Amino acid sequence: MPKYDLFELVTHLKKCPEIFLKPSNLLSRDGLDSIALISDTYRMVSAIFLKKELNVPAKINFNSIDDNYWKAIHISCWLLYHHSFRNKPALENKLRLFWFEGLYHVTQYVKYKEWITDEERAEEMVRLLLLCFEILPNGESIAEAADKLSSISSVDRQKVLRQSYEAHERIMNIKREMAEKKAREAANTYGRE
Amino acid sequence: MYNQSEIEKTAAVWKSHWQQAKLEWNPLLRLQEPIWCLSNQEAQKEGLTGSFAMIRLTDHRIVINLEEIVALGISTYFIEVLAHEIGHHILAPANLYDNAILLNRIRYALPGIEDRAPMVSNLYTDFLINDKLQRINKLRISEVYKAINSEDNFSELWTLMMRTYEYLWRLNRGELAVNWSFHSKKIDADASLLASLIRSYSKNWIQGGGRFAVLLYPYLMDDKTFNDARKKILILLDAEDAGSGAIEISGMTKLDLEGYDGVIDMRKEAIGLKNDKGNKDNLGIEKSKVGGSGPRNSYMGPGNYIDLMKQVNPNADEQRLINAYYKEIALSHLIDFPVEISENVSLDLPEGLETWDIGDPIEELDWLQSSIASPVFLPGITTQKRTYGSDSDHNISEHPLNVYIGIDCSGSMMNPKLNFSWPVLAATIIGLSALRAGASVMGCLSGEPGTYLETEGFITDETDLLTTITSYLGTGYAYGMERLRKPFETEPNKKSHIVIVTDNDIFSMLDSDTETNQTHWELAEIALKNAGGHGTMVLHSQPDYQKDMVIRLKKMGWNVYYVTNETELLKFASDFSQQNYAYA
Amino acid sequence: MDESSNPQIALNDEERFPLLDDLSFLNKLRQDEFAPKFNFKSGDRLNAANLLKVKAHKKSYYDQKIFWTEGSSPIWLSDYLQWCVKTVPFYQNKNNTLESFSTIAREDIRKHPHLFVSNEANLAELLVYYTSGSTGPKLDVLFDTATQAKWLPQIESVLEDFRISIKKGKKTTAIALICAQEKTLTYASLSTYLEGAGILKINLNPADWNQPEDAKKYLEKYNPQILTGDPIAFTALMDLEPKLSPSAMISSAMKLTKVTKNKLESYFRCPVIDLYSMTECRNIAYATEKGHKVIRPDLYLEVFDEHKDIPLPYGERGELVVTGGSNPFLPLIRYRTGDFCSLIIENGAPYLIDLEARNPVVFFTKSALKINNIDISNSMSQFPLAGFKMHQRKDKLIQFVGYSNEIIAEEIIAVLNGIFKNDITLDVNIQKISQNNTVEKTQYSSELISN
Repeated sequence: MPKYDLFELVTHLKKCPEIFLKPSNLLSRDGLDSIALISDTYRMVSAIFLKKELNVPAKINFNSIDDNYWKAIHISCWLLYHHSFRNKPALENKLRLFWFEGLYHVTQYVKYKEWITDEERAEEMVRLLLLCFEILPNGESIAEAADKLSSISSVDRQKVLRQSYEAHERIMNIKREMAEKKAREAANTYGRE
Repeated sequence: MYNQSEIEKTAAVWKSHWQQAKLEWNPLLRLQEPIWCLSNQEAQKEGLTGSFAMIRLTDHRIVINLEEIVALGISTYFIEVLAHEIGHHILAPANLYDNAILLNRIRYALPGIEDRAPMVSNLYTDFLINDKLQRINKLRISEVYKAINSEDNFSELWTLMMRTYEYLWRLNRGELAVNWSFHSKKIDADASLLASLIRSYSKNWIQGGGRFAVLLYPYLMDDKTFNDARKKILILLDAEDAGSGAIEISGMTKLDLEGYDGVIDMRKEAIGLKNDKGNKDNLGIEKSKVGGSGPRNSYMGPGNYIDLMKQVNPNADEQRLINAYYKEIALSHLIDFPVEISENVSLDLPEGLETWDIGDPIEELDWLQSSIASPVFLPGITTQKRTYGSDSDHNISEHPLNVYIGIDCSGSMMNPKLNFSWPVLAATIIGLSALRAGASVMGCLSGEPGTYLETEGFITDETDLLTTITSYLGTGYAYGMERLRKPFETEPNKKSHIVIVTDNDIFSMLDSDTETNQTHWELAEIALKNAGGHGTMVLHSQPDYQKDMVIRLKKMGWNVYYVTNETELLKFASDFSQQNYAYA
Repeated sequence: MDESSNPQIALNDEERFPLLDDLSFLNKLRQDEFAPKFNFKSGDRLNAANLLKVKAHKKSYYDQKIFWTEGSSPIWLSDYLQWCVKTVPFYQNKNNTLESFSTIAREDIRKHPHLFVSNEANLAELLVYYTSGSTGPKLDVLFDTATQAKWLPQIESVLEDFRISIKKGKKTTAIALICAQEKTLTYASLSTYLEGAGILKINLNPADWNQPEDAKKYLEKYNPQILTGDPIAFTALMDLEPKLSPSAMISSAMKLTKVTKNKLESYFRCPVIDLYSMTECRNIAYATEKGHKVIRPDLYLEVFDEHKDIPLPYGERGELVVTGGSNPFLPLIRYRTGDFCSLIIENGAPYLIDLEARNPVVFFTKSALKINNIDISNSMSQFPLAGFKMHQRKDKLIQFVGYSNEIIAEEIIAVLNGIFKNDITLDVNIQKISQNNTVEKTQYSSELISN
């Protein structure tokens, strides 16, 4: 059983070659052959090199995957090229969960480039993958790993930021209105208080 | 009181590691050894209170309070603490000038609570330094925080700071943010944004100041919350007063438009909303108004300038600041210094060399002398500038006329400390140009009936002159003609221009009852004659107004110069200076 | 100093009176030969929607006043709490039951006025009332035009108890708010709710008038139906011996002593109603023989232990705590008034027994001129003071202790000398705010006996 060192994986991910950042050939003519890339990755993880059919859930429609999402999948394939994921047939079935559920939600908030340029997003992809694989990063307990993922989760963060931004904006608007001259002229006072 | 011998032992250990601490930054670094204080009293004498260390950008010193260090139980972290303090000198804020720029940018992002800027700046620069030292130099900065933090020093703000370090250094939740009661999803989200800010702006850190401050705004906006939070971390604030004692830092009067644009709400960016400029409804956090003042609206207002510079140097003298403000804006409109040393001896006699410091204008840097002094170029240490002799020791040239500048400082005029004043700028330009040319100047503010303020006759001292003309009275309704009596009732030793900056109300003044036999009209005529015949009334007025009276003035020999808006005063002042004081 | 705190003229008359076409009476009031030198302008700013809100308020609460009974709470309460929890940031994450709310105090509102604004409140309608407060640092009270105008139906319901009604229409001056202060805002205005009737806010200070006799002449000419003000202002008015025939006088802001009430009633020959109200929620109750009779069914009242967060049973004395108030910009839940009483219910109406409102303190110059403590509060509010205490000794020396970290003693001396007409000995002491600050509330006290 290899040690899944988080930082080693993050470092590996950030070295992702340019080629993986090309668009999918399903969206662009001279793009990357996404299906082939996925198949390769399956074969590498499962170690069954003759495997033909893809283990893709029926409800997934490749045509509905947008450019940003495809590129995230491409990048994650590079992550999965890391030697610690090779020949791990037990992980094969979990790949689907990672690609088509875990990654799906988060790609709505993360621009593909951030997966390899932003330290925290890189860590998020690694942690997300390890979570789907039910692997604990080296040296971490279940609780620690869960907390660390939740503290960098783009999905959670998005929700919280929107709330705190809106609440703050409302406060600033009230403050601004309070300073407005029109508010300060007020209205008739009829008695003393 | 802690055991004196323990403090002394600690001092010896810390001293012996000073060289090593400098190596963390640069082997060639020439920085004086810290001032080692063995007791709180000694530290207090150096101006260090509240914290165990501080930096002074003015004399490039670090002050360490070893009694406090022993008390806090961090005496084994000599490299960390010393390297951190050095970092403030080397990385951020590094020098007075950058310190002032950063403070100004942070102020933009804290509308209404600008007074928090020094603390925000301190926290921000701490991040930049600590992140480098922890991640690149592998120092144990996190351990220092662990040693100092207790549940008591936490607030929402401090939790945000510590969570940010946890994000930056991939520590477990609660390793630094030990008081869990403040943990929240909101703080996590903000900490994650801050961590990415610190990473992205480690090089161009001045650019990140606005973003940093915007993110902190909600944690600082309530007075009490802010004060409580600040009190709890006072011990860690080592650069809040870094510029204390700094004299004027030039170049700060100009508006920092780039800095203004850097006021960006990262929350908004992160949720995919654009920071549309000028769109009120869409701006989560509003910037302080830029409010350009002065020529081409490209300067900050004097009030804001004073506030900023008082944050740079809490001991700054307001009058000195306001003098520096108008002088700096006037500079580009002054006559040039005479190129040759002629008989018109003036301010340009090179008298010697002084250290050129980061806060000084770059033009003053004497490259030749600097390279003679040292082959290594270390700003503020090996850099030299020339100093020029004051003209007061020399014979004043016979040629340029002196100038008397009378300014209407009545109720209709604005206080030049609060609002940009065109008359004061005009007077500064004329006065300083005259001084450059070797003339003497008498300045007089007058708001009468009421009060007046004038220099002691014709003087050559720039500070005295500026201090007079940048003051404020706000009394009466016009310049008091009676003020011309003292300098010009009899013929002075030397001829003089008379320049009076006022408005229509001067005609009421001229007509008003003097309760003596001599009318103000007569005084105006005598004064002009005695002065030598060169007098200008600069009137803020439409040219047609009070025609008869204008003709009467002109007949006496007065020039009447109309300005219909105050910017024309600037044109008048530069033209006047060029015509009368510039060297051919 | 926060300049934006000060009221400023910012509207035109159309914006002040969206529903009134004929402003001739307003102009008459403003331009009268005896008119004071009005220094401000004001309107009720009621548009159709807001006027409707005021009328609806009258209909639902005052056409038939239904309060609550011992052991039950008003029917509107649970909806109200639910609405607060849902839309008011300060109350978020609370339960929907009143028991789950702890009390809040003035300081909460002062610190975070913006957190009390319901998300449903329309910010375009925000108004700010800035108060110096006689018992503490300044407070920004947020409200809207409808909330402000609800004062009228509330007072109408009080007057009904005296079988008095306010005549409406544009030929009459309905209300005159009388002040006797060094400086205050003054204006002539109209009321849309009262169908264009005149509203005056005037200051008796001679400096406000062109001729010394004008104040008397002006008031006599327009003879307002209702006079409002505080006991000091009413006493000052009586000293002018005007020939007025108000149908009622409403005294508030300070305690009205029995002696003063009797004097006023016999001079003006009308009931003088001692109203208990506060800026944060306006009218609460008025004084009767039995105690203070509660006015508003939309304001739920409880009595709490002064120090502990425990509600006290009916009849037990403690701090009055209010909930409700119909102001979307400041919905109150269990707000401590700082005033003390016990609560009883009689014939369906709640009464506040032995209400101790904030005591007025009158100071004197050496030559015995009366100085209103509101003038002190108002002028002190311009200083960076966290609080202050002012005490007058028997020898008339004024001892002033202010709490501030700024050097303001000289300015304060100058201002106090101004208020006391340079006819006073002052001992001004500015104390630094300490680390573990126990800055006291503003307090006035005097060893001199005032009537």
